[in-house]
Amino acid sequence: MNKEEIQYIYSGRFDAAFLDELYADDIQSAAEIFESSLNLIVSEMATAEELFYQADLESLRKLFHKIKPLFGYVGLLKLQALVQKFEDSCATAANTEELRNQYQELNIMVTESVSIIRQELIRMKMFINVRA
Amino acid sequence: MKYTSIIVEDLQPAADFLRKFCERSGIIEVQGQFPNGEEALVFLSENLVDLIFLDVEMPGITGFQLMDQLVYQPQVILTTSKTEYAFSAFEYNVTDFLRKPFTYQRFLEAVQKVEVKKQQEDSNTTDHIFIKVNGKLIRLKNDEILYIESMGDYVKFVTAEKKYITHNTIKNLETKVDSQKFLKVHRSYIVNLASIDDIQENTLYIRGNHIPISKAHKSKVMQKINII
Repeated sequence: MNKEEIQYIYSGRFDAAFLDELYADDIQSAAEIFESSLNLIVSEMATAEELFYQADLESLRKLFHKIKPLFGYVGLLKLQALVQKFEDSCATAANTEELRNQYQELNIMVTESVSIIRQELIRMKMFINVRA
Repeated sequence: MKYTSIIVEDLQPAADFLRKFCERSGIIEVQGQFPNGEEALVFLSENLVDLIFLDVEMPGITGFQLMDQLVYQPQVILTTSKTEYAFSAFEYNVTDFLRKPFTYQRFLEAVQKVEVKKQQEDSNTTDHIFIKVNGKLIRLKNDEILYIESMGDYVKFVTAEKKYITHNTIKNLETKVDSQKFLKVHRSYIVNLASIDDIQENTLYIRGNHIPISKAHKSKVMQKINII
């Protein structure tokens, strides 16, 4: 079999059909977007933590609005929907206490997602190397 | 046909992703990528593009505020992750509304809308226009009009024989006149390309009238005239 014909298969935790639609067979581009999304999620979540404890709800809403599509670019559509919910909650909550549980649950899920995106990125890079 | 464009997007991966789609399409040329509206406006004050891919929520001015400040009307495709902006998008008459992240197929559909809108704009042109002067509608042939000059809330249509003053704006007329024959060369002037006698640096001359060419419109003027 020609090396170029080998198809990359995304891990089960990602919406593979959606990722195939986004990137087709361009795994190089997919890996680049995965990497830049991952870096941004990590840095913005550190800022989110500060904003939450400063009780700056509007800046927190803006931050989650900004990073929300990143979860889509890496095929985590359910997590993207949860971020949308949290963004909406930021707009309506009176204070951060109302959001504490939702924030902590989301934080845990995002932290887990960072780990699986990182693992997937390693797989993608290995695939690119093997194919080359 | 190739369309010139810019991307205004504060989320770097989203901008990179969109740029790749533009490159893949072969018909969208990206001339710049800006993380906020202010930087984009600086670019747009000196350059003309056919299309803007525009995020809505960004640091500084929003995408809608950017559209309010444009001195000409390129087509706009809004790229956002919030569907609530769809109604405002409709009010601003944007060409399409892409929800991030979008697929290549959906991107191509948006590009097709750009092409259709462009064709409609081009085919809407006739060899004449009607202007309202002192309660009368006067027919002016495109070939008769030398240039159009802004006078605040009014504009002056200048022909070889007469001048007509009517209530209108250059911004509005820019989309109404035949884009093959007329070109906006300054925020206060639209000229008939066929009536230009000569051009010296940033001024063009039509039958002895001096008409300034702004920095933003200079490159488009040079593209449109037939330089041998």
